[in-house]
Amino acid sequence: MKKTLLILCLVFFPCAAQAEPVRSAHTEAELVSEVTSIQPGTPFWAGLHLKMEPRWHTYWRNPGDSGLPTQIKWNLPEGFEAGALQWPQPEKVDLPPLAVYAYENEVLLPVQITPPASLTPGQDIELKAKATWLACEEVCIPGQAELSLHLPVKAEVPAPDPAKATVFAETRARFPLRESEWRAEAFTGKKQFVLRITSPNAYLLSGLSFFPYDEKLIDHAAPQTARKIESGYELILKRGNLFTGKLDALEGILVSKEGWRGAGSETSLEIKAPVTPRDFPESAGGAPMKLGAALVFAFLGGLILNLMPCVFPVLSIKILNFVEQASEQKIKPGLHGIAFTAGVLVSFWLLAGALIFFRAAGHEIGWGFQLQSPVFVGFLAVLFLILSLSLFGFFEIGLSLTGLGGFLTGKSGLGNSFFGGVLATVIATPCTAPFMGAALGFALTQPPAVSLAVFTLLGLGMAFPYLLLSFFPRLLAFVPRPGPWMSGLKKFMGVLLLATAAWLGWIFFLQSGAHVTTPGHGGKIAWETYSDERLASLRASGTPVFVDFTAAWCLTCKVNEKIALDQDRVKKKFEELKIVPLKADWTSRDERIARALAGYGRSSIPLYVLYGPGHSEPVLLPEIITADLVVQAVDKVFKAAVDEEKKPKEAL
Amino acid sequence: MKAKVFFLALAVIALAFPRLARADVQVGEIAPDFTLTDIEGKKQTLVGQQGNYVVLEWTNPDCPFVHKQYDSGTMQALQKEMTSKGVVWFSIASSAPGKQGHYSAKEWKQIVTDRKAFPTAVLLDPKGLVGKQYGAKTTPHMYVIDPKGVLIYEGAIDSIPSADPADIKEATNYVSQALNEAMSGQPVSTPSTKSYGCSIKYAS
Repeated sequence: MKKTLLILCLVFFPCAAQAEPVRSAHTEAELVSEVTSIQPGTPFWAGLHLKMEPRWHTYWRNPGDSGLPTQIKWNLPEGFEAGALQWPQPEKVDLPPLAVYAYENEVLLPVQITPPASLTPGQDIELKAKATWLACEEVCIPGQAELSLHLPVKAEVPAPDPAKATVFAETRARFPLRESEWRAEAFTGKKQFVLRITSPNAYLLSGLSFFPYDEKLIDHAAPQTARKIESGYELILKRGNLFTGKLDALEGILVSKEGWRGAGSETSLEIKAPVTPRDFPESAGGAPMKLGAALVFAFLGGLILNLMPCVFPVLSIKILNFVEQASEQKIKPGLHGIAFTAGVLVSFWLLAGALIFFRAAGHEIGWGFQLQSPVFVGFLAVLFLILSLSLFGFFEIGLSLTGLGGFLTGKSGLGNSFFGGVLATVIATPCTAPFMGAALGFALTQPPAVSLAVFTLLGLGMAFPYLLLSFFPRLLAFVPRPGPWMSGLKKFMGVLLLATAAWLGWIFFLQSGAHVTTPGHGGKIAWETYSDERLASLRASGTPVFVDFTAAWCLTCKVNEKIALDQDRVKKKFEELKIVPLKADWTSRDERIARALAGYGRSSIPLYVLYGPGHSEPVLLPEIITADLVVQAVDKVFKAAVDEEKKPKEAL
Repeated sequence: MKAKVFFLALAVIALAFPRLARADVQVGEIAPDFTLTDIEGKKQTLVGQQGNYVVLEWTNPDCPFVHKQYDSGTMQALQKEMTSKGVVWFSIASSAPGKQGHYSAKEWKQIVTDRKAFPTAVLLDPKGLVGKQYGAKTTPHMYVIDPKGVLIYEGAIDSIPSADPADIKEATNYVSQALNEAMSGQPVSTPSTKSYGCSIKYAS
């Protein structure tokens, strides 16, 4: 039938382009042309059109973990030239533990054909090509076809073929944007790339995903985590373990759900991001922490939250509460434990919800952000002052301020336990414990469901001691019996609460008042103010650096400074080894510091980073430090650097 | 009773943790040990082969890329040549039950006979644990381990990724190259490549 048409076509000029589709490997392949005739010397678009059966796919130029890219070999008449296949945006197909880049249903791979100017109108031209591809569903079948396309030569400007207009238009809409105001650059560590894209226009992007042109560059199946930065985004990619050579640029396409030039525009952007090596702590951030490990650490972090200085008052109060409840037979301690846990969990969920919301709204925030708001701090300071006065016996909260403070000193009711959990969480959050930083850094870069899971485990960990106590009331035997000492204890709690209130008041003063530059600790370490540029220039010259990420509202940071960093031994060590001390103060929200933290895979403080002499990798100190620990860490880093120097220099 | 509920809750939490994901191997490092049952019912380990060169060949008899190597006789010739030089050649099948390339030990014996293959043993990995441990992605996907247990090559069987047997004569066989170089005391010139072929049909 088609043959007859073709003959008719040749006889009765003019008529449309003719080609025969070929079936192979669950795919129908056809050469198509966007125009119905060829004008001598005028380039036009043709292409390879593949229609796959449902569930079958063919591959992109980089197929990913398995598969092969579709290829075409042209056999063109004298003087014709064919450009390279143009690849519209593919899909990432997950086949855990693998991932491939492919097209499903159908794909048109356009090619620009340039005919010679010497053609004479009236000629019939046959374009021939051999196409090979691999079609896979679950199983894979290689396909190939000898294809041809007939086009008449005419003197006039070629008319578009209405039958092909849609498929060409749809395909072009899926071409990557090549010229734009987006700038891309990349940083590489041993195990990860950080791809940074910035634009003067604040386009909102989501679902960012990088498709590299090179097959060996990245781990295709590893999750790619994106984070919002000032005027752009960063995407963390896991390096492929096959890639060992030097790399000048990351090339490929970046895909976003929203367009790169605003709503409705191209959803993929071709980039060539120059790569510079950068020191990454390889444990955190980019080679993102495995989900299981993050959950374990979240649980441990939650447990340890109970020991943090800022949650201590609440822990004590709740233990006191348990003592009271145990002495009253009617109350079931287990139910209180569950109610308390529920309170903790609901608070963590609310917090997670808020974080997810703010993150979606494009804000740059880190853990402890609620203590960066003066209103919240002021409110807490007043609340704690009232509570402490109550504990000193100035008035009975149960009678006068039922709604506000009843949950702390009230004697029964599951609601009280619930709000006890809420309060404990609110106070605990600023003091991120060891382990938790990394778990949070992980959570904040993950899809909402994963963030929620991490926060849930964090809450479970924090509530665990209470749950344990309430399910095993016998353990309460280790808690002192109620008696006259309780009023003494109450006063002691009062002092703690008062101290907390004073501390919060001080932060409030710092936040709202004239900005006080961080005190230089007269006679102590002479801290310099942190900036990315300063750190980079010190690193470039191989100078050892110690960075203290701190904030006035971070009590753990303050304790660390007191017991470790302010000690003479540490100061002497720093001076002796000429370590430059940098202080990054996060008391007020500062995007640059948030970004620096993110660079270390953290979203919370305290964080202590030590760079040895030369160009060694940074070392992250634990979140609770002592003077000995700092001195030892410094010695170790310097010793490692010296050993490195002594090593015979092999030909590289 | 309460204690039971409590520990049950703990157990549920513990089970909720997803299993740790695969850890890829790295050329230049010690290849991880494994224990798999071969089609003769014998337990095979990597540690047990210390002192020998070992080739791991991920295979799936129904994959066109595997056909390319076997229908042309290339893979069998290499197996024959290398095993005669004392190399231990393990063909490993990581296809999950019900998926392409999953066969019983008895069926495998027939396949080995039919395709006139010369592996030291065919190892069955239906759960895909060893495949995932090694980060094996395709069939074929080749690994070469030296007598000390160090991975010296990982990647494709040869240098031309295609399903066309006609390409074999133009291609460099990386496994042959790595073994010959290592045996003559030279460093392996191409220690890692991107493997090509069908995806391994792991259990999902």
